Amino acid sequence: MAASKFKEMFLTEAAEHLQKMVDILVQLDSDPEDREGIDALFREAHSIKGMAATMEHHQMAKLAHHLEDRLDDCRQLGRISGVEIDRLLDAADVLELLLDDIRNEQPERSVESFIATLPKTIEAEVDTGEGEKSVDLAVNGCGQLIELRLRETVAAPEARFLVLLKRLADFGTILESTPSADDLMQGGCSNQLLVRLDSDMAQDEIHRELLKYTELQEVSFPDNAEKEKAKRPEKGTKDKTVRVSTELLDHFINLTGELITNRNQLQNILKERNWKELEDGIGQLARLVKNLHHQVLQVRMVSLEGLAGRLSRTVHDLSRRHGKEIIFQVDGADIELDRAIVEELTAPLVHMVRNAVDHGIEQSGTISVKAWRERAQVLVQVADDGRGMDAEKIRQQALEKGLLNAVQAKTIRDYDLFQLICQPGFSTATGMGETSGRGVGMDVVKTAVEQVGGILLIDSIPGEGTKITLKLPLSLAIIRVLIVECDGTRMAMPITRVVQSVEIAPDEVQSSGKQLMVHYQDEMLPMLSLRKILKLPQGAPLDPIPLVITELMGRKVGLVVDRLVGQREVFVQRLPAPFDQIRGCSGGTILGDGEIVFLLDLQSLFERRREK
Amino acid sequence: MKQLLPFKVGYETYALELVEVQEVVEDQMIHPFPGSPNVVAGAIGFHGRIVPVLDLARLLGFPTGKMGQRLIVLVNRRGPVALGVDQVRAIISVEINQTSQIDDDAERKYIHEVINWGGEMVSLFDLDQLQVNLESLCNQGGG
Repeated sequence: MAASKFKEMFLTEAAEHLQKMVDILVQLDSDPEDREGIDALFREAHSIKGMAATMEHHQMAKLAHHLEDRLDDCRQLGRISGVEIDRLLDAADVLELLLDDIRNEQPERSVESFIATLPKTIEAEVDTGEGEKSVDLAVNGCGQLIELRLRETVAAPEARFLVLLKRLADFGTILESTPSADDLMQGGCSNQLLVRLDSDMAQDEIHRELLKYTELQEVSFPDNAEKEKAKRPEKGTKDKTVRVSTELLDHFINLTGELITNRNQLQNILKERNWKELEDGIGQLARLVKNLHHQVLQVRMVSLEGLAGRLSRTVHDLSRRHGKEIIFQVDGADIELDRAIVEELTAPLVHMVRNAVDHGIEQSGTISVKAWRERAQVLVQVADDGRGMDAEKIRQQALEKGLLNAVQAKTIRDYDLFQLICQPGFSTATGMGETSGRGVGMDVVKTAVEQVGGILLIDSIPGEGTKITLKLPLSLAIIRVLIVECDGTRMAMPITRVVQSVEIAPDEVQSSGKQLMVHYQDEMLPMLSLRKILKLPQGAPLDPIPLVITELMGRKVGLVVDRLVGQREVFVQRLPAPFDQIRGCSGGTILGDGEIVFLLDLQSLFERRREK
Repeated sequence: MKQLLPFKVGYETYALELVEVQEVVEDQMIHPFPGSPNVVAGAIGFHGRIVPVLDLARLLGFPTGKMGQRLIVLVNRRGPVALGVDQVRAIISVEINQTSQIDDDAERKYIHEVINWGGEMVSLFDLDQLQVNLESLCNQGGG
């Protein structure tokens, strides 16, 4: 018991020190002569060494010790080179893997071979900038890796590679390549090219096509997934412990005390049948429970700082790899969100930032991540000042893909148009990554955001950049919902998904062909019947018609329900597996009177229809 | 020795091992839920939790009418999930050797053993098969 408790403590603390190391390293990259930073780094390595040695994790202690030595050299020099920062970041990754081993009760992997790859001494290395790591493509990301090697005898390999790149672009979308096309144009590259291609073509088909080029000596397909796994351990749900301030714990004790007093009071009232005081006692209880609830939510809150550190690491690694100069700004990292939401959003945010680096920023620019609170919501925004998205091109693509008809394509607003890049079919469109400046994997991001009850807004101006904003609930468990009634059953929609609820007169309904439309603010919205969507029997005509304005597949629609019941805060339960897979329902809540109200998930209902 | 809870669905008698059963409830309001496949009748509130209810008659292909006079709530390891059946009978104890395995028979789904209980055939309901089928049902969505 005691041992496992120590182990938990060690794991939590070591992970914290490690995260701090990474944060400092990324900061030092922009200020390599920051003595205090180097000192702080040394202290973190020292702490890790000490803790690991105490717990007898020898490999970890050995590596931390080695880092300590290197950092001591850096202290002597008074600066840390970019190359060294990258080495230390790699070392941090290895330490992370060691932590995983310890967590999973596996023997620690040996660090001997890793240490051997590091040069013995630290000279005052001059940063050579890009070209440092010649062939080491982003091992994370989608698509497949293709490695091309030219015969030694081929003259002007750069030109040959440019031809090959062009040919590969016919097979799909080139997500990235090392060296890049720009590098190739400047010349001086080796006879090796690594390409990440997003293609529907089978591997052997691509292989066959490439073999037609006799100058190629070798074509191979390195295994993505394996390499990715080995390089960067996925952070996520593994930290099961939380730290609670003693102040908060004191609050809990006090509250418990008050609840006991309250119970005694209520027991007394019951014994003496003194009903006059009952109301007072229950009022007291309501206040205490509300307070308790508030405090418990507080314990679940975490700041975005850890996530911000992760993002700055992503930007650092990617910009180094692509030779881009990117300033990364974080604002509002102290904003707190329910830990479940932060965990869910880590991967999507990393993806958004990666998109901004890969497709937004051309050569140099700024990426900023901002978080702020607006009433009961938290907004997180990822913005870049890169090339922006071209609405015209997206319109064309959407037309070609049949996502819009000709009339829609004319009338759709830019804002709604940008939402289309989150459509699963859209992101894989050939050349989309290049032409729009965005695209790959946005459907995944949107799904994740909606899963936690949030929405995603996209705003972009060609040449000025792109802003993607996530509107998120503060907490997952308790959310505000709009309750509606349909065929005698009450259902709920998260308030974050509702634009407005209104009642309209029947004569406000217009018809355009088969579709009923309604005038809302300055646009015409299609009207959909919830009864029809849920395949319930048709009801009696309504007057006035209750309407929920909501967003479906990136478009505003008016949803006709039988009755608008009202808003309230509810505690949402997920359904047990496998029922949580059912589309159309994302959970439920038990109301005070015992009625179960389910959370409508219209988006997924519609997606199901589309798939059919 | 096995303890079984026999129950009736349509004109068949089935049974579950008692260790799989958490509680039998009756007269519970079943709340229908949006988008569910039609074998899912809805859900009940069970000790503060939302527990989905399966319409066993529909699942087994019996004519459906009045469903769920009785609900058998399975242990939490199984979901939790409740099975709506027509009738629940008194618990019986059987010797292992009274049971006989039956071959996979497409016409008799969800049964893995049959017991001759005093001349009456009692079919042991196969929860593992149910679980597998439920997963695919819920993934397709209903309609």
